[in-house]
Amino acid sequence: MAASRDSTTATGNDEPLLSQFVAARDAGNERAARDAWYALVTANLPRIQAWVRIEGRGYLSGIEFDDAESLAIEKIIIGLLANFNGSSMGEWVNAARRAVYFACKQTWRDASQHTNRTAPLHGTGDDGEFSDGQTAAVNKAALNGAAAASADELETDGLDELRQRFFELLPQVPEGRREVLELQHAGYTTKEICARLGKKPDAVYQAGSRGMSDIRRLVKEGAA
Amino acid sequence: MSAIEQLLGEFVDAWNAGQRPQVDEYLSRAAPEEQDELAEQLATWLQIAPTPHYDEQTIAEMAQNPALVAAIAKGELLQTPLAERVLTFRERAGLALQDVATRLAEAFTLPDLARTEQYVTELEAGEFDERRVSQRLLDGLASILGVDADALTPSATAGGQAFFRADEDADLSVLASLEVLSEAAFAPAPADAPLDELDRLFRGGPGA
Repeated sequence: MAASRDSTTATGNDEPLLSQFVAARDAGNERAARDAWYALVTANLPRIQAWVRIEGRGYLSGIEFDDAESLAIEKIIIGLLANFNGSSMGEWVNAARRAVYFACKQTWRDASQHTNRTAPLHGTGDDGEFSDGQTAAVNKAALNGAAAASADELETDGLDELRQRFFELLPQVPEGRREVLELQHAGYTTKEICARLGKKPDAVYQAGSRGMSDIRRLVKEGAA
Repeated sequence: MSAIEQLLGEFVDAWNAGQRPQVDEYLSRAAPEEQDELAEQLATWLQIAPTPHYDEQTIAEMAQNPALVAAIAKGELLQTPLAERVLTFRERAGLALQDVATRLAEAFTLPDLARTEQYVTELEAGEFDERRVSQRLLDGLASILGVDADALTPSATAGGQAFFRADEDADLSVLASLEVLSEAAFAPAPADAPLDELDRLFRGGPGA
């Protein structure tokens, strides 16, 4: 459970950990940098796990989700640690999400090679099994094509900009939605938001969700 | 208010409360035709959401995640020079240096057992450039020592490579260990005369 909410910031405990890492990295203190990095990844484990479940929807099944999760964590712990040259959580979140994306694709490719199963990249049935219609070779080619397009896919989904431009775009969100979104982002619960704004839970849910859609739309429009 | 709006709101509440909400659970509560939209909304939240202030017990639980523990162990392991790892794994496997040499000679049909043993001795002494050790040898050693092949990947600092490279863009398609192998491919080969099979294995480069 969360120990306490710091309502004065919207950074959670990410920024201090990242700052520790950046300071140690820049000072060449590898041991301290590693420890800070491990703590940062640990604190973000739920985010990584959730990303895997969302990214892998439609083409990973069963144990492949676990494999993708393990691979994503390894990529972040080892690969991203060695390569991360950013200094903001926005950069970290974007880089980590990319690691998750590639881990899911790699897991699917490895599983396909081992099982020679037929599998469209998307379109699993309710049972998680893949429908037929494409050979593994065709799917491999399709996946390679998807991988080639992956950079574009990641660039155009708008998520990379979302975190970095969140506060910049917030004023453009209609007031009622903005208030809720700000409070949600600051860690307030629906019950607390209701008490502060004099709204009912349904109205808070609606405003928060629509505020999020607004932000995403604004990012996409800005990128277009 | 739609069902998706409520599910998203509940997820946000659970996230902020540090309850580590499970995406699958929330998606399964949405109608099938609405799951894509909910997934997109959840992805949006995950992108902007600050990490909650987890209490110590929760952090400790997360730190015990097997995949995380394994990744950290592997990351730490790869900091250790290959020579030390080979020695450690050999002792852990209860094998004498001669045993390893004998098995390598069998596996690669090496005619000179004494020389093979000498090379293994030098490998454990760190006298070979680990970037020049062939992947075939590493795979063979891993099999003999009973460890995962990844455990014998050249260390991240092999050849004096700086661990943090702030002047290069992050590229997540390769792990640090693979980058070491990549560098090795371009490292100068020994200027000695023709390499025999034993030389190729120990100093012919990753692809030898």
